[in-house]
Amino acid sequence: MGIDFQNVEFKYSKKASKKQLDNINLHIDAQDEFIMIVGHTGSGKSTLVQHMNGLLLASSGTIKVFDTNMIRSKKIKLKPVREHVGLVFQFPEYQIFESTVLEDIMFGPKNFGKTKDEARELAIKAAHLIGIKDDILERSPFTLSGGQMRRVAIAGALAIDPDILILDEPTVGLDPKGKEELMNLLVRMHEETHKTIIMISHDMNIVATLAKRVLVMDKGKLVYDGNKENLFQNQTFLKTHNLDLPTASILAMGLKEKGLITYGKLPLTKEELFQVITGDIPNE
Amino acid sequence: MNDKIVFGQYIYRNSAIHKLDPRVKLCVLFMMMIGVFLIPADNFILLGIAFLIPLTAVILSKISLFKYLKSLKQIAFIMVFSFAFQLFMPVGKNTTILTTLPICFSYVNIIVCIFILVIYFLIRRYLPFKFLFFLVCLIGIIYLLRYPILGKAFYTTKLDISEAGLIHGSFLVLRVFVIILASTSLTLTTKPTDLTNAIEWLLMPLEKIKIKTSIFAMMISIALRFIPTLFNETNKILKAQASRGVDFNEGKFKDQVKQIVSLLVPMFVISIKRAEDLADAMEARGYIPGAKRTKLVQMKFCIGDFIVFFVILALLVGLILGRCGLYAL
Repeated sequence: MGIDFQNVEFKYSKKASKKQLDNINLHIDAQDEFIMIVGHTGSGKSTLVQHMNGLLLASSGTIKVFDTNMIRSKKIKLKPVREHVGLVFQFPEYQIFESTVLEDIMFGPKNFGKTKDEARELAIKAAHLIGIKDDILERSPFTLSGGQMRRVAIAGALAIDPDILILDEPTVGLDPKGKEELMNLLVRMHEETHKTIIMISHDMNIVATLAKRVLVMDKGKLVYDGNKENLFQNQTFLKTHNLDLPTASILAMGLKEKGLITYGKLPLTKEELFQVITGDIPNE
Repeated sequence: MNDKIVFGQYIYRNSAIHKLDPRVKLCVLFMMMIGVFLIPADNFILLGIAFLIPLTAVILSKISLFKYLKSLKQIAFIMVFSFAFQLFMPVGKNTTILTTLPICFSYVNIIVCIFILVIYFLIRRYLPFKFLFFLVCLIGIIYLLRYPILGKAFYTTKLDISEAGLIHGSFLVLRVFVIILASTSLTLTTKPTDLTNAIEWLLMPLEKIKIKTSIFAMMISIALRFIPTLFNETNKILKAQASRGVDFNEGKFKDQVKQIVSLLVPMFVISIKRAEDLADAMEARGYIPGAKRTKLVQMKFCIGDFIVFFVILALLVGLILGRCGLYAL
């Protein structure tokens, strides 16, 4: 179960010399994974995740998503795949179109054959999970703020109740507070439901705090697949693939250079840095 | 899907035709259109001279002939149709009749013809040379209708192909051919923005009667600029809604309407938002509708432009004077 990629290659057209995806091998479990995909602009991150729910189909190689072979054929049924794997695009607030928030969240489940009452139940559950208050549900989505609209859009994907939820840069364009709130909600949701979450992100601080597994894409190739600690230890690797360090790590390295602190393992988050400096676990 | 969707057919080459002032090119096309339809019927010599103008443009433009033929393909059907229509048109008694096509209808004949047509429409899309296939089918049907297959024909008639009809038909087709070739060489060698600039310049006299042509030109160029952008946005929304289970090909009619609404509403929201942003950006940079503006690319006539313009103008004037009866054409 889950998602399996084997020697996957993708080009926009047969004649194109540039491979958007180049020899990708990958397995993602249907439960308990929290994966961050990082990489430079144009490295193929979005192309990769679009293969996971059949928006794009591979030029060669095999992709298996929950027992469905994703091949280019007229008989292929993509709808069941999309029920298992939810995808939330960048700036998802643009996909909202219904007249009330609740109706818009119900749109997904209704498309997958749920009755009105079932859809309403799923929608309310998803709304609570992502922190949408009841009094907003009957309002028009177009009167909401950007952060709230984004939550509504993510709730729309959650209401389908997918096993795997993919988010393409969910925090881009939000203010710092909105960013943190959204990330905390996603983490809480992950802990409650054990759904696999795959997230594309440019923000190394988020990667350093949350990721259980990191995938690094560069020029269509999957160049790293593993935990975050090993990734951030290897400075030369980060440099060759144009990746940044988390802010806390940069600060820690600066302090070490001045001889102010010493550490065995590079601190990645501000909590870890705090611990290195004071020797204490932050109580706040 | 592809980011590099370019609107229009413009192909970049470093050629004399590309460098020719767009205003001149537009004027020449306009004069060509008038001229070609002023040429007296069946005067192939004058049409030949008219044909030389787009032909020079084609040769000088350094763009492969294949690209030109591609645009001709779109109207090839109409050309064949009007040619056939002219060919079989009964004309006066004075012309010689070249051949006569007997046409017989019998039940078997009609069934075979329908069969050919069905096959044509079924396999048409899988063939590379559609037009050739169309011609083969057409000739096949005409030949079939000559002889009654199996049993007696219940209706027979004959179609005369007269000399006049043949000449009329080919003249008409050649006339359309010349104009299409000329307008294709304009669109292939001129950027859409240059074209709008040229239209704006040519409409300048209208400013005298208080019609703000610059606003219309701005509107056209903005519309052209945003076609690829909106196309990309549509693609994004399509994918986002597909992830939410939208399938535009299945479901009851009521569901399908709903699914199209799920595409249309976001597109309206995006377009209005973009329009607002663009209006703000334009205002921030001091755009005032109708105010005098300077251009980034100054269009300047050079000697070549004048020569081309006046040669074509002279030809047109000569033609008009001839038609007025000053001398025999």
